[in-house]
Amino acid sequence: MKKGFKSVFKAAVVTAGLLSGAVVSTVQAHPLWVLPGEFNVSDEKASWVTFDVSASHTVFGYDKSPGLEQAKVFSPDGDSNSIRTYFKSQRRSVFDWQLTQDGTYKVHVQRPTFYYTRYKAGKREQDKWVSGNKIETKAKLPDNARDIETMLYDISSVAYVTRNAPTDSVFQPTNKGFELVPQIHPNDIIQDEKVTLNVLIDGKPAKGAKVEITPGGSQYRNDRNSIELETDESGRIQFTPGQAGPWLMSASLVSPLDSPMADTVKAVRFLTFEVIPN
Amino acid sequence: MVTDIATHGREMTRKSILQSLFLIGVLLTGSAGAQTVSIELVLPNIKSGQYQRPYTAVWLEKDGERRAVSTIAVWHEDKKWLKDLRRWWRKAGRYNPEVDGVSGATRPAGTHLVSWQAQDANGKPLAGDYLLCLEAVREHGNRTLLKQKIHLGDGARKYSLSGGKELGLVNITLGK
Repeated sequence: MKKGFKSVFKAAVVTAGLLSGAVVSTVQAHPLWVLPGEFNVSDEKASWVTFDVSASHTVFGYDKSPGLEQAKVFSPDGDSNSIRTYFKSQRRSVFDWQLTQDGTYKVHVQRPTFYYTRYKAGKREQDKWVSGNKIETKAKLPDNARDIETMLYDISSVAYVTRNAPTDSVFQPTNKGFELVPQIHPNDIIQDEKVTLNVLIDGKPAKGAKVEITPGGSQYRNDRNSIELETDESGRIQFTPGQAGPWLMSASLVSPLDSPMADTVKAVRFLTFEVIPN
Repeated sequence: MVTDIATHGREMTRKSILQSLFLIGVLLTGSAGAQTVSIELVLPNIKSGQYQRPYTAVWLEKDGERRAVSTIAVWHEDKKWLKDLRRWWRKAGRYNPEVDGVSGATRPAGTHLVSWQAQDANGKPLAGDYLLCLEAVREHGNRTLLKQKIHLGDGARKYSLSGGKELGLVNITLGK
């Protein structure tokens, strides 16, 4: 998987370099998403839900299949488990999970963290990128490198599914790092009704987080139809989804990092949620 | 406290339905003091090779409240598909899918009558503005959701709804 992602990143960096004569501000990562077959389940018995996981620029189009060794499922009673078996095909990864409890589960897919270093060289103002942390890249950089900045990428993706009545134990914040905390239950989002989320950094409202919320099926329309927001001091985002179906939210925040390995950390959180027709 | 009379096709005229309903209403309201809400609904006769009887729910909501006030009727088979009664499931079913005396097997096409005493869980009569909701969903078919604002505890009233694909005409009658 690492190899797959690396090559994707290289390709993205090259493209960005060709297209943009101006400043390339970030490495373009493929959005990582988890799509359950059902978000709400009614059953007295334990019931299976199937999940697709892929990384792609079209919303819920299959492209790159991530490894799920670091994926975890959090149960309503507080238990958490690794995904024991999954199928990694070329364009997506698939697993099924049995909901043995009533309440809301969280599926959390974490990409292994990685580093990228940006610099300028000589008289040219164009950004250049090289993979690796501060220590690793020291030898790789040319002698005339300047404006060097190394960024740690921390990317994860979440989906919630509920059997019978919903519970909220799985989205209590840990108050560590960058977190999305739903204020409306993510399995209770209704078309044309307002949704509120709190965006936190280390338990405090995160200002300046960039949020993009896009309805699925972007390959079947001309406009991406994204809602784009940026958090203010309250760290709160509100939006009203106008169409039913699965949606993907991404929120990202760059913060300074006190580490010999990197100057900043870019945290990206993806959340898949279903909008229920009203 | 729910009574319903199913008629197959046109065996019973509307008049006789209303007469029976009147009797039931008298019997029930006599002791409870709550208003009788009578809902006459039609499950349309749909010609389809894949026809299965629809899952149907009738319930009462209060504006601005996330949870339903009361489930009036729910007709279903396997609970696995109860969630497809999307709004009822979200507002009521998932909290208490087995409501005594209210849930039953799916019904055939035809006119069905549901009668309900407008009272809360403690037997207190309800008064004020409410939303009466009806939802029907059919496997390999459609979903129809109907909503009617009703005013309880203020005398007799009638409401009529024109219906949709999986629910035909609906007549709602509030007793005195």
